[in-house]
Parts: sequence; structure tokens; C-alpha cells
Amino acid sequence: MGELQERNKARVRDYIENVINNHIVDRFAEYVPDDGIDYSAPPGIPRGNAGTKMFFTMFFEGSSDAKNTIHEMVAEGDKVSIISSISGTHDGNLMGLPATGKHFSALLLETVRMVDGKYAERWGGMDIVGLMIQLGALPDPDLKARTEAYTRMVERYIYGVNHDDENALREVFAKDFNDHNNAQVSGLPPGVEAVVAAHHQLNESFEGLTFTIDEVLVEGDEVAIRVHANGKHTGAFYGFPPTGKDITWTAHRILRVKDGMFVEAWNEFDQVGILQQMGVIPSFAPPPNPEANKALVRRLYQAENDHNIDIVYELMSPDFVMHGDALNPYQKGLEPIKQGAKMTQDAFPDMIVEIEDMVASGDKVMVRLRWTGTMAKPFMGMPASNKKMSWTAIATNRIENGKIVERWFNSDVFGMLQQFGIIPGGQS
Amino acid sequence: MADESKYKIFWKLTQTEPNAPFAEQRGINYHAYPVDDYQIARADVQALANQYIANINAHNLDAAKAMLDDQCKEMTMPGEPVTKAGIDMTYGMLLNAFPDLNMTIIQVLIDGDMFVINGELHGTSQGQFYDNAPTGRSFVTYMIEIFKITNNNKFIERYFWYDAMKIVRAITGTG
Repeated sequence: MGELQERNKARVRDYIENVINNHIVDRFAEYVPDDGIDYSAPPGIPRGNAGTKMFFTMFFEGSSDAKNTIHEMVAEGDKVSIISSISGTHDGNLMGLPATGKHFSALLLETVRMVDGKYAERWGGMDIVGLMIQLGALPDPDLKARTEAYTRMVERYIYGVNHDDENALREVFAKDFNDHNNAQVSGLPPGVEAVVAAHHQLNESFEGLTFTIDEVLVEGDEVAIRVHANGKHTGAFYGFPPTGKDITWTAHRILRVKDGMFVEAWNEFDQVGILQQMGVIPSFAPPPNPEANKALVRRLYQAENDHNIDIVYELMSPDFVMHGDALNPYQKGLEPIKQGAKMTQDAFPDMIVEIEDMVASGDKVMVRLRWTGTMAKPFMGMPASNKKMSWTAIATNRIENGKIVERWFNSDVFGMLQQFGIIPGGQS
Repeated sequence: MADESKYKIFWKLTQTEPNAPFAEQRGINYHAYPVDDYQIARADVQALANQYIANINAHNLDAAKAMLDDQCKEMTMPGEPVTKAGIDMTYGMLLNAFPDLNMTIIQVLIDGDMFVINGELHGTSQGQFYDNAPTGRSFVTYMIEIFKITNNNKFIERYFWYDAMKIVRAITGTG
């Protein structure tokens, strides 16, 4: 390669790295002549440096941190071909696409003819289709294959963690891997070795440490995972001596993949929860009070006998979830509870519910119930019998912050159907 | 003991370049391919380029793929590097949409063990191209394809760009 080619390459590097990457559009005229021709410019872009300025001004509006990284240059005669990639955050309107906040990286190939150190002619451009797919503007034809590939990488990662297998981690994490949360941990080596060291440390702190993958989501070049971990605290953790306690925690991690390797990640895990379980710091939640919980359940059913249905707003969470049975299937929120109680009270105006037994521990109260009443109106499609009926149920209620948040419920629907005469053997 | 001078490019990439990990992350094993020591005559590069172009214009993708080293990597969609499948992904898709696809050469640039095909693609819309149904319209668009050659005279890196937007404008009559 001759002196001219070396000079042209240096000039291209100067333009890209010092001018384009610093977004100094007012200096473009030093590198692109007024009459420069860009054979690949989109329609409506003027000729020469005015067009280059217009294009990059628009591009930088769509990505305020856009940066062009040169990978290789090939030069012969008065031409230079450049292999680079343009990457950044889509934080503004980019070619008509409103900001998505997504990170992108698009291959850029171009060939320029240099005259007196300026781009006299240019061919080439970026991988617009790839860019649009990354920004979600075009369907991703490779999503399924990539989801499978990324899931395999995540599985390899978790295998490496669970088996303290350093090589498995090095297979999937890039050498210069950047963990954005490492600032919290001092003394970690850079790159993939930080992952190896951090997980080695965790394995020393928690015997039998096992991470379980609960969820894997893939979009663009990112894979988001939700996991939970279990292990026995048998080694120092954050300087706290072992307690021998079984510890469990949850974690989320978003990893960005480039060229088949994890290159950066953001991580959140329940460190405080771990320290609470170790007994190092107190729990933020009030300790469970089984007797208070039983009193709350008593109030709820007494209110039902008083036909005070609206008490549910006081004693139950608006996010209440019921895991029921055939009579009361899965329900969410308070309205289905109110409707069910009203329907029963309409059909059985003298209905009484009695608590026959309660067993309470931790945040749960298991209650055995019996309803008795006269069927004065049609109920569940059955005509009114004017007979006294009775059925039982057992429910587990979970109480959080003084409200019932969740319930598991089984009732004697079978016996009820026998009393209706639908199933033989009852006292219809 | 390994002769480190053989791996000068590798060391240069990993130790001095700001984008050092790029080549390594693509899985290109420079230790196995001491390309810096590999001197290839300009005429030989030109012959390889001509053969590749002839294979593409004969629509013989198997022959084109046979010119790629088994370790060949290319930068394509985010995340996964593709190897020989890249030829099928790019030219296979183009041939499906434009069965009369033809490449004409503006210039081949050669610099050491790399070469660049600066050319034009010509074709007629007879199959689906992304979201666009066939229209029977023809197009001419610019393309650039860049290769790095390794010491078995096979291609160890491949980069491909063509002006897809220009094709869409031409076949849909919008530009």
C-alpha cells in the first residue's frame, strides 16, 4: 500500500473519529466538497457536504450518542473502502421512527473516492433493514432462531453458575464483558473474569447454590431473564459470617448479545432480602400475627352474616386473588366476591355461615366453614325448593399488611348437587 | 513457543485498537490463521474475486460457499455471527425475489489479503422481496462486498451491503 492510500485512510479515520463521532456537522465541509456525489443518498438529500450535514443532523436527532466504529479499511488507487458499524441509542425521531430507547448497531460499508483528502464520490450505506428490525419497525425474521440460540446461551450461563464451571461462563461472556452493576462490588477483575469471580464467590458463600431460570424474553439483541436462587449460607457473604440458614432470592438480568457472546448486562437481585434472611438486617414487613389474622377472618364472615358485603373493601386487598374450585373458580379483584355473596344471599335470605375451626400460622389462616339457609329463590339454574340446605368448605387465606390478599378454596359442591337432586345419594 | 510475530494482527487488534475485541468476538481465531504472515499476490486475489463473481452470476451458490473457509464469519444481524449460511441468507433471498439477478462490476479494490467488490446488482421483481409482492419492475442498485482471504486461499471474513431501499423504490415505482 502506497503513501497516498495511507494518507487517505488516515484522513477517513480523522473524519469519522474526530468529526462525525463528535457530531461536529459544521466541519463536514473540510472532508466533503460542495459538489461531492453520494450515489447512495436517500431521495431529497442535496449534493455535497450540505447533503452529508442534512443526513447526519437528522441521524443525530434520532440518536444523540450515535458513534461510528471503524473495523477495517481497504485502499487502492484513490479509493478507500471502510467497514464500520454505527451504534447508539434510539432516543429521538430517527428516520420517522419515534424514540424507542433501544440500543442499535448497524453494519456500514462504504467506498469513497478521495480527491485532495475529501470524499469526491461515495457509494454504500448502512444495513437499514437490520436497523429497522432492531428498532422494531420491521418484523424480525430470525427471532425464533435467535430466541433459541439466546436461551441456550442463558442455560449455559446458569449451568456454569450452578456447577461453578468457569469455562462454561467464558464460553458465553465476551472477554471485555461489561457488567453495569459491578460498581457495587469492589475488587472484581474486568470483563468476563468479573462474572467468574462473582459467581465463584457466591458458590463459596452458599453451599449447594442453585439458580433456576423462571423466564427468558428475547427482543432485538437483548435477552431478559428472571431467575431464583437457593443455597445454604455456609461461607462469608458481604463480610457477614455464615449462618447455616437456607437462603432464597430472586433476580432479574438483561444481557446484550453481540456476535454470539454476552457483551454487557444490567442486574438486580434481592440483596437486602438475602441479608434479612441471614438476620443481619431487620425485615421491613411487620412480623406475621396469626391471632390478628384469625380475628380479621372472623370479622369477614360475621359481616357476611350481617349482610355487610362492602366490608370486603376494608378487609380484602383490591388485588385479591382466589384460587377456587368448581363453585368459585379463579377470580381476581373484589367484584366477583361481592357478586357471589349477593347472589347467595338473594337465594338464601336466612343464610348463616359458621366458623367451625381455624388453624393459623405465619401469614395464613385456614378456616373450616358451614353455610346453612333456606332456598327461597332460584340458585345456579335450580328452581327454588324452599328447603333448608347446608354445605361446607375449607379455605386458606393469606394475609398481607392487614388485608386478605389471596385465598385457596374447596367447597362441598358435590354435596350441594346431591341436595339439589342432580347427583343421587343426597337428601334432596 | 509460539512465534508472536505471526499473530501481529491479533495482537494489534487486542492491544492497540479501540475496537480491539471486535474481531475476536466474532469468533475469528487469529491464532489458527496467522494471516499477517500470509502474503498473497495481487493477481491471485484478482483471480479469486473473478471466480466468486462468476459463481454469483451463474447463480451457483454452492460454488460460492465452497470459496469460504469453514471458520468464515460475517457481521450480520445483531447477535449471531453466520458462517457459510450468510451466502444463502443474502443471495438466496435475492435470487428468490429476482431470479434474473446479475452483478456488474464497477471496480475491484485489492489491499493485501482483502478485496472489495464495488458493483451494481440488476434484476426483475418476480418474487416476494420483504413486504413487497412481485411487480415485474426492474431495478439497478449499488452493492459492496468485502472479503478477507486466509492462508488456504479461502475467505475468512465476508461483509455485504446493497441498497435495499433503492430496490424497494424501483420495484414499487416510488422512487
